[in-house]
Amino acid sequence: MTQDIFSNLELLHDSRPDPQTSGIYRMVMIAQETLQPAAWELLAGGYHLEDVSALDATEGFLVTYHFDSFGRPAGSDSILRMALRVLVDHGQPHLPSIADIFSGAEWHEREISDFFGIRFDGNPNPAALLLPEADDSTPLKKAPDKRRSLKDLICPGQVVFKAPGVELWDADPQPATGTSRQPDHEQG
Amino acid sequence: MTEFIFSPQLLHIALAALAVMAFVGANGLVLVYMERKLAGHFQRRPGPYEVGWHGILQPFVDAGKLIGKQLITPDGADPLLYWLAPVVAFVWVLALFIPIPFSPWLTAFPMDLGLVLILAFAGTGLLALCMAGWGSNNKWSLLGAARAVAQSVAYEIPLLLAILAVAFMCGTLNLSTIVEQQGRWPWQWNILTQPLAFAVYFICAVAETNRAPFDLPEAESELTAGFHTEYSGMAFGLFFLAEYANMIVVCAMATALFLGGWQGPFFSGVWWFLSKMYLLLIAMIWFRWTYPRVRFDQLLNINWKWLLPLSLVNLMGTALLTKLF
Amino acid sequence: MPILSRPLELHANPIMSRDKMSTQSIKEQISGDYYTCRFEEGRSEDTLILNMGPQHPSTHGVLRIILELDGEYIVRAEPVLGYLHRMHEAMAENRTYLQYLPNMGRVDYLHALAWNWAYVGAVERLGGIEVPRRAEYIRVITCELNRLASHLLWWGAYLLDLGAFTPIMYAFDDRERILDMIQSVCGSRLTYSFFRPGGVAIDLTDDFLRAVGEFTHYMRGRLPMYKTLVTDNIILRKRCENVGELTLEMCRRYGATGPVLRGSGQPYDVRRAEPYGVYPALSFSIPSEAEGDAMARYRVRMDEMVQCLDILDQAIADIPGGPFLAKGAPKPRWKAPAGETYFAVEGARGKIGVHLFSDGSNTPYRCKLRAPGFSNLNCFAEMARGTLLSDAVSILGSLDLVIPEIDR
Repeated sequence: MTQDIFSNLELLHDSRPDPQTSGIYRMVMIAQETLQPAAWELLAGGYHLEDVSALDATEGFLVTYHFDSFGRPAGSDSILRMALRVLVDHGQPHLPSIADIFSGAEWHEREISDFFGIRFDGNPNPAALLLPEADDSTPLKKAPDKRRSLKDLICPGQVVFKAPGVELWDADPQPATGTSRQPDHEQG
Repeated sequence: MTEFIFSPQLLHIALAALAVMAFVGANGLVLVYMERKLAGHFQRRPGPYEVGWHGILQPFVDAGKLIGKQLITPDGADPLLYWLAPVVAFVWVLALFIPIPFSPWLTAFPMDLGLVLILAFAGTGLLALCMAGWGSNNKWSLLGAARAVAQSVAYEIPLLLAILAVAFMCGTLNLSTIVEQQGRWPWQWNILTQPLAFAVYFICAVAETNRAPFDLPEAESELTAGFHTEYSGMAFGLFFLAEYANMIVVCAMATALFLGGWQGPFFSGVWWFLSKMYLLLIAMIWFRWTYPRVRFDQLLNINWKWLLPLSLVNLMGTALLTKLF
Repeated sequence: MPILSRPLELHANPIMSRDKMSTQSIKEQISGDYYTCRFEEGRSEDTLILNMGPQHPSTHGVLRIILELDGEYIVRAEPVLGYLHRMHEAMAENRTYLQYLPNMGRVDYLHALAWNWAYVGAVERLGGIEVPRRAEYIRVITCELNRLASHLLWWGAYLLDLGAFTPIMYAFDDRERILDMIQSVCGSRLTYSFFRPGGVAIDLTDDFLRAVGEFTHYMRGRLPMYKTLVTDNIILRKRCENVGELTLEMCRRYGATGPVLRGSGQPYDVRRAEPYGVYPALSFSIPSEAEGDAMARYRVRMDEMVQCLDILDQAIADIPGGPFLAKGAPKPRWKAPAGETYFAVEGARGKIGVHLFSDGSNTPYRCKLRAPGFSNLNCFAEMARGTLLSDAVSILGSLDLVIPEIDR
């Protein structure tokens, strides 16, 4: 049993979604301060940065860092795709940049700045990437009445650890398979 | 002075100039068509096909199109340099045809220093490239011109040494004499006694005329057309013609120096000269459509590390053997 | 001092300031746009700032790279994106699941079926839809044909960048055959919208399968010719060997996948790492080379073409009968169950990912498209430092970029 890659770090929420339905093997929620140490651990652990994306929900912006590894060493149960998630407040959309750890993050973070308006402190080249430089229209940021809650969007799967005070998802873990998905909360 | 103005020599010069211009023009048209047709067939397509029988009128239509295009001066370009460059590129090449012996009586001006004349004038084409690159006010043209300078200057040296070896062997710099000294049959031609010189000469010729695989100054995919990026219409046409005229000169020289010139097993004459010249031209065209481009530092490496030592060795060997026998 | 400022100052004539818009001085006019100005701030002495693109014969689309050149050597390079940005991710939030499908063909038009697959795979995962076995085989056959067409175009275009004008004609000749075959079943030659959640749009015919069999036989005869004439050519080898060194560690930092990663020694292929479709039932190998230079990436793609042919032969032999679309396949205004899913496929350029969030309505809540070219191009700035301009062209070609997928 290999040692957990985040054993030295403070996590907010750690769960194992069903990879057959969600494509993600492990979902970890962390605070902003833990982001850079976590990135260092992942770099050392042989992971590569797949992408960085953001989601506009009622609780805030959920910035997801997808890390993937090239393969499982034979016999181990190491994780393939991992989603590292940070919740960012709508009022103060700032996050530390991991561009000096994973160089590819520079462009992903710039794209998120374009689309959502989140600033990444420490990004070496924070110019607009895809949108025109004078554009601050943040196209993917939703109007407040169109946002949904994270509870309705994400099924965390089997919860391994939950820090006290973190009430993001229903505490009831369920092995989410294709047939027993969470019922629709809204018929939107 | 008045004797000169009405002398037969002036008439001779004038007629020769006209004949050379006509020859270059006609050959330019033929070469344009040949290049496009050969390119097409190498690429498994027919090439020009619409205009005339199998596209034979294509070069005329191309010339008409180029003449009809608007002549644009780019913003900030130096008008004198910009417009002088294509003229210098084309007109100077015409002078190179003077000593070339197309046939015993079809030589513009048989001269004892014919080779020296050709080598001296060959370097001026470079000046035109520099003027075009600088005068265009375009960084891409500048890069193309810089590459052209280094390439042309470098490749002139093995060219010179290869030709010198032949001159040593024949004991003269007069092209007509060199042709006459070779025999009618292929085994009597200089290519058999100077194979290394021929190989070096031909590679340098391809490089001097900026043809692929040495076409970096006008590398389409890297420099968006290099030194002639900003030219349109007939100015571009003149550069185009100048390139073909250069090709004709170097192939004509190769024919005279190495392939026996106008001599042939039967019915010697200008048709032999032209056929051999066209064989070499077809080879140059074939190279262009087959090989990728060499990188710039590799280009210079080939020259300084391979062609120069080889041509020097060849020259020394020829000098030694000529002295001994 | 910049090289070209002298002639411009000499010719600062009143005619230019006559124009109402050019009230700035000429020096301000030539200093460039926003990105060039930012780039110039980090400049060293005696270097030339050059814009390669957005109109350039060898940047494979509308890509702009700002280069700082010291003679012919590249001191710094910075790609500037966004010239082909169409905001596909916003379009996803305004269209139903089926309406959004044609967008996938436009993201990377050269391997449109892989993007089709990534998207319908994500939708199928969300909805728990089972795909019939025949449909899976149809997907494999058409996707591998598309991969072969994409690699052929890459090969021809790469050689065109390097100065060889002929191989692209041969490559397009082969590609025409593929396009004709695919057109008979997908309906278009380039931007396909052939897959549906739950299967494919129409069934294959026996003629098509026979044509594919003849084509693989024909192609196996062509590839050795390409190898002798082109791959083994000394000039090509000198242009590609030791050019654009990409280490495995760099790949991990940038997230490079596909032939770019496999050319650096890591045999990672999504078809084996996260199997989807009927790939577990097909036997094929994953070519990889260790050198990490442009020649390694070139060889990986040439070997992959042979693997495509192997997969095609197996698939047309094993394809079963049955339905080509699941019975419960989504109808046009279908509502996906709430949830999130990530589905990855192996495209010609690397790992394509579609991250889909559903809130239970009939339009996606969020659709994130993970383009392999985005991460691959990211490596360019670091790879091109210190190389020649010609090498930059060679490196760009070896990365096999399609800008629409990078800009989305």
